[in-house]
Amino acid sequence: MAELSRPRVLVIDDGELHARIVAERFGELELIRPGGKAQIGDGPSALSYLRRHAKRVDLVLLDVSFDLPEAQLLELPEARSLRRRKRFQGVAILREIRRRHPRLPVVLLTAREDLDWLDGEAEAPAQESMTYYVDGNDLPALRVRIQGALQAAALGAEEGEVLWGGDGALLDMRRRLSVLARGRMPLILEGETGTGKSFLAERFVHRLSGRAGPFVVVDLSTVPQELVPAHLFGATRGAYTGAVSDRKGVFEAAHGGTLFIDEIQSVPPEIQKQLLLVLQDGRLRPLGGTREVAVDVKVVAASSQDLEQAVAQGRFRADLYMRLSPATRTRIPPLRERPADLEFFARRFARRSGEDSDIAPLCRQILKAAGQNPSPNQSPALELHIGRPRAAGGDGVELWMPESAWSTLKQHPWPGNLRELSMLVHNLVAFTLVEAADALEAGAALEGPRLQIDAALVSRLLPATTARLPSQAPEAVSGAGRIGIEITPQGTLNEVSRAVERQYLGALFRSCEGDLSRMALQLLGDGGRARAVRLRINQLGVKLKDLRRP
Amino acid sequence: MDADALMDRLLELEHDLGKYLLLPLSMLEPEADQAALREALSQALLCTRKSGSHAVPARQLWRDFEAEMAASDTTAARARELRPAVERALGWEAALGDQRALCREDIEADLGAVRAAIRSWLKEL
Repeated sequence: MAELSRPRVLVIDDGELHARIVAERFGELELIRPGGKAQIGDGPSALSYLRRHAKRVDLVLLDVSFDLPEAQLLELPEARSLRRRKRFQGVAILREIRRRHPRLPVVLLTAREDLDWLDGEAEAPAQESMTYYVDGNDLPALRVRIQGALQAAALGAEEGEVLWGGDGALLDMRRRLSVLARGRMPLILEGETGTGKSFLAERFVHRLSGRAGPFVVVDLSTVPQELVPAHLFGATRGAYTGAVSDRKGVFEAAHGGTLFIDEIQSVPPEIQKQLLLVLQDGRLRPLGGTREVAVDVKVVAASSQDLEQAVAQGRFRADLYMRLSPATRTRIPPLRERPADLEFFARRFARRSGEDSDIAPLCRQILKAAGQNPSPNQSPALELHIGRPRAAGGDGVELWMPESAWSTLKQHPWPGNLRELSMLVHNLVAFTLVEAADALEAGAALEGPRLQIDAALVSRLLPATTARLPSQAPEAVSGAGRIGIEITPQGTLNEVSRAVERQYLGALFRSCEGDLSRMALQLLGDGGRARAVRLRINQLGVKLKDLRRP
Repeated sequence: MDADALMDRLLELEHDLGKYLLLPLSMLEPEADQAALREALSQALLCTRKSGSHAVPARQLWRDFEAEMAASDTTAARARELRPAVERALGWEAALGDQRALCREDIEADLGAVRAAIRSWLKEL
């Protein structure tokens, strides 16, 4: 934001009234005066201004109805008449603004329900986090909306790595979470692994909660069952073998702050009741203790499984579920359900990779070879593009992903979600840059800082990325980059683990066409350790000749 | 007038008489004095729709609409149902010429009722 104390507002309106209100009534805002005028009166002029000066604008106040000659109107293909095109011209302007400036806060001067008149005629703009609707007749509401939009935008700028993508569902979720975060009620976050539940809880929910206490994380799937009560509620000295001193539980540690309970469905049934009481009363009794301790904690309960289903199946107490406030249940959709976000995230992750200490020197080397003079103190820009390289490049390194490789990524089911994509993109960037750096050292010339990602590299890295992930899908799914594994009840966990490993190595053996060096590269990161792979296969009681059988 | 054209016309009226009839008053601060209130009322009723330097009063906008609706018995009849709300709002013109104290709440209620009446018709379409 250009100036925090006086955010700058651009009014797009064919009348003067709203600009006058901003100038005369909203002293906390600075009205932008393009060419000395109080507002911009039509869409084309507004878009032209934003193309040149978007960085100067903190917020757009946009009217919906524009009584203008046809030549000054933007297309609104669904509008069947000129009258309706005028009446809802703001929708057309908003669409164009969103295409070019997806994060710019826009307050649309209409009640949201007024756009219902567009039903069947025009598609209303997607509900997304940076567009706000306000009835133009309500001055206090207008002020609140503007302040809210500016605060959300400022927060968004500070969110750093919180990636919401451009998908409507997730942006809508952002708005919802921003409300829920401020309340006292617990909050349920559901989503597969890698969707960013703990990240959201810490960087978004905890920050917005306004709570001064700490953010504490507990993953109950990693705590031995017999230690869960002590871990949650604390224990006094001698409460159990090994309790040599009084120990605070995570509830107490999070007092005044936020407690993120990951994999809440892993809480043993007998502990679920205790958890319920703590949530109900805000008091707990440490294991072995006689004194009750009051705790004030905002609980964010996360689960990679459907909690409602767990309740229906009797694995999770209904009363605890109700106490956790199912109304606040928020499901973070997996990446495969939001294909539109794939490019957004891939590009963001690539950009972020450019800031990593292992990638930045490689970028500088490429830029120097291309005749640029990158700053040693700043991370060079790194951009990922899809499709065919453009003739002219930008300031930093540009990586191009061919359409064929992009299609492979689009078909991938992303069981590890954003975490998987982030790792893959980082590896693609690293491999491509290292290869280019090697070529430079071998005397190759570089025409510009533009490198193409090898499509074969994408195919090679994709199964490997998936292979490193624990199986997250409830059912085995076969397809690009995924391996179906059958799990039958076994005597011990070790036997289950060995059975899974046997199947996995068999599948990997086939996908690597029996090349143990490739397997070693994928499994151990070192193609020279084929012998170790062979040894492990032997240890599992698998014979190579059996694997080679068709 | 077909259904599409009727909806277009009603949306336009909703914008002019629904929104702009009330807007000048809505934009007043809560503690606005009588002079400011009178000025806003004058803007609302006499300069309801502005197009460049040309301003069209609410009464004219209503007359134009009624004339268009007269083309069919059905629309004329439905427009007559709107008339009481519109007339009540336009009746405040009389207060512009005298010095009696104005009650902002009453004015806003009358002007706001026009919008509700138009929206009710829109919902029927």
